[in-house]
Amino acid sequence: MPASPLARVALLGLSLGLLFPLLSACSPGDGLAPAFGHTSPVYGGRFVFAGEEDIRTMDPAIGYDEVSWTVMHLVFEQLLAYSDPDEDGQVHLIGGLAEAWEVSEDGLSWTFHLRHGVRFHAGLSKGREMTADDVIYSWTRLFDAHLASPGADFYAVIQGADAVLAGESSQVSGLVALDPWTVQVHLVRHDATFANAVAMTFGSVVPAEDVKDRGEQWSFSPVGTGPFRVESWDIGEKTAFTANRDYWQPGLPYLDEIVYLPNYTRSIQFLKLEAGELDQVNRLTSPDYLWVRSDPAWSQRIEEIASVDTYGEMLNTQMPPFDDVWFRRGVAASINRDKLNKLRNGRAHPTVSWVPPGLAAHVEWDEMSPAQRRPYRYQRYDPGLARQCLDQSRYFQDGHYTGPGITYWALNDEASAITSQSVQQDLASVGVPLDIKTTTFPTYLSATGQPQTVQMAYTAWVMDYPDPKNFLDPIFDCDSRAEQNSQNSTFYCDPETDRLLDAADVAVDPDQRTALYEAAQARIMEAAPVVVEYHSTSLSVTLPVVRGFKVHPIWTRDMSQAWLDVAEGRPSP
Amino acid sequence: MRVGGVLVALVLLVAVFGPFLAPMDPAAQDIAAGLSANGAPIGPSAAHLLGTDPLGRDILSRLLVGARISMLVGVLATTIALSIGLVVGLVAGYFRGIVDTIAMRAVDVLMSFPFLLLCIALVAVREPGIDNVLMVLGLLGWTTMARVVRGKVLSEREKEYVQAARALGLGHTRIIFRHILPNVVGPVMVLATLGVAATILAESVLSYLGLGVPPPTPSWGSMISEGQAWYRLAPRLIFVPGICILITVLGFNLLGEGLRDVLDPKD
Repeated sequence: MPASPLARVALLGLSLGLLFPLLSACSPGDGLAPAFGHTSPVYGGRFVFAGEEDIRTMDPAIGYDEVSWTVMHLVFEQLLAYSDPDEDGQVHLIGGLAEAWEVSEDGLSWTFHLRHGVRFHAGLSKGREMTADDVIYSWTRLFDAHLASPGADFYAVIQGADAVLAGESSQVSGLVALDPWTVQVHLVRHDATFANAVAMTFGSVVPAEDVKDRGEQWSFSPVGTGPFRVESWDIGEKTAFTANRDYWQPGLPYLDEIVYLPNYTRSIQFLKLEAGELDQVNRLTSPDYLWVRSDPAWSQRIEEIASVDTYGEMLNTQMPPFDDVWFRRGVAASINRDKLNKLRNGRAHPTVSWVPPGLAAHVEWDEMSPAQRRPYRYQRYDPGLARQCLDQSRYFQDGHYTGPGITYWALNDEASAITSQSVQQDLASVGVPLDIKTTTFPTYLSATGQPQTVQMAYTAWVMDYPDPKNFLDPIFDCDSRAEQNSQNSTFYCDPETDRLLDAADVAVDPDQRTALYEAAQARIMEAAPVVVEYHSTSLSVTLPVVRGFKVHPIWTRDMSQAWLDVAEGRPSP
Repeated sequence: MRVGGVLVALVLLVAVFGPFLAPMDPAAQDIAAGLSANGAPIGPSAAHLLGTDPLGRDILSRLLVGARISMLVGVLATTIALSIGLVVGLVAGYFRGIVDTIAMRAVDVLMSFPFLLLCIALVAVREPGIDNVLMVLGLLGWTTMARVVRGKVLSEREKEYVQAARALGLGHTRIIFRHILPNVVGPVMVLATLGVAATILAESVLSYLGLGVPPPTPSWGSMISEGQAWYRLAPRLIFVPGICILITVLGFNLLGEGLRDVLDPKD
């Protein structure tokens, strides 16, 4: 018998009434399984983590995004590596697959002494030992025109690289194997960041026979020398990595398996962490962050470190209305950075400097003289200055915007949604209307990498290596513009900026180099191809059983020495 | 029906006068007083009777303005669907034969796709926006109307008053629209009322998925979407717009059922 309308209303009310206390009753710390209490690492167990998108590739010559780098760091290694962050959060170059290295006085000749006994994962290479020839093959591969490696630029300073890139030679003359365990590299000019390039995933050492034989399939189950090998990759579902028991570092790794689950939003990731289905998350929504911070059990499980990154907006300098420098300056000065910080729970540190703290050429507004501040003044919230700039632009007449419609590309995550609507409101208050288009990360990357496609978008740059070059050259150099996958998404091009960046690139004196980067950054900030907003804070929340996990400024997550403090953990084998 | 009528009248009043009654600009972000020190939205207060959302905007104002969006989409999209469905149903049922076969196979094809999935696909292709939501919901929602009208016309066309009109030499158009149409209005009214409820829900779903009305324009669905992450710390962000959708849909459903009882007691 159908219920009467009033009865239905009563039933609904009752349902809501029941649901509400149920939601409120769930305390986040309730389900946390306690650690067993081992005092030294135990072996075994599976570590599960998740992300908002799938791995784009596991070919180290191609992968150039956060997720790919995180998982490739499990599988591959480079001649040089980064230390754990020190007390100041700084990382330093240390030996990786090379146990020692020397640099000639002029900085043009580098000699790497490889470790003995480093073996590839079983594959076609059948676990054979890595040699100097593998290093030469791996680095030469970056210059294969068909591969279009984004890493080629970082190694282009090697003698003979241009000939291979142009297809005139198959061998890089500047790469020489002195013996099976010694590689000598000759550069065409001094490059202060070459060691950093060697430590990037692009410099990973891979076995030639495996790569050549398996062709395009190789990137789905690649072979490296890292602490974990790829067990399986079910696209869109999960990727599993199992321990490399022949790893060259004695005793490592501790875990039996690591699993990556793609396509989970931040909210779902935290719910799965609470349910014990994940072992760690590194991004929280604002409410989950406040929830974790307010709970005694969870608040002990959160670790926060200052990120070496910069967030803001990209303004396409080739598309109206952002082809007008006064319009760009007006937009940059109209964004309320303190508001964004409050909306991000105080985790977004307002800035005027695109180069983040901890790196040379970073500047602080409070520490600058009035003359030094001048080019940076557009990168501060100043509605009066914003209106003056906008009035000077050709897209404003009599205080009214007369330019084309502006579409702002935002990502479909909570942080981007909040930023985009805050920016929309700030621009509305100075008379600039904005439509928001929400999109997925792959679509966003593809669109912002093409000219004449995206006028304005949410943007961020996270450190690849600790040097100001990494924050300026790939993004603002004229040569970084491309028809596809352009890293220079603002399509900013200024010959004087290029001259300063090129001079800094070859400068030997560190002070002179820093001064050149400072001059380049000041020029870029004055031209405002980007709106500089804030530097963020990295966080990590782990289950109580997780030990040895590290938040790393380069690799984001470092699980190479992680272990699980559980009763069933095995002692040292 | 009375309860339904009162609820619908109430929501219609809010939709018409809501934007004038809104105490604040629904897009205005009150960062200083509208958010707590740690950036969380504040609860109900004298300044914000229903509290604020995660961007410090007044929930009451957004709710009142959002009512107009929900009702506008509900009524206009249903009107589009009703117009198409009515004409297709009348023509197919009256002429039968090849016209009927073509029209009903088209209905079959459209109904074989899950309605919301098709809406999501089309809106996603065409960019989010109120005009696209209206068009997609209107253009895809006519099939049930066409089927019901066609069935009713099939029985009406055999009745004596239609045969008398034919015998008098009246044209098809006049017979269909002057004589048959008034006799199928009953089920059309019932379906239209229920259709408004279904369309409001569909708009809410599209807005919830980020495919509805673009920000900062508020709609009840987008308010739930923007507030969902706060379900533990500020559940009112989802319950307040959720209850509004529930009351509106309930009102239209009760009204529709009541109209059916009055207009077509046999069913």
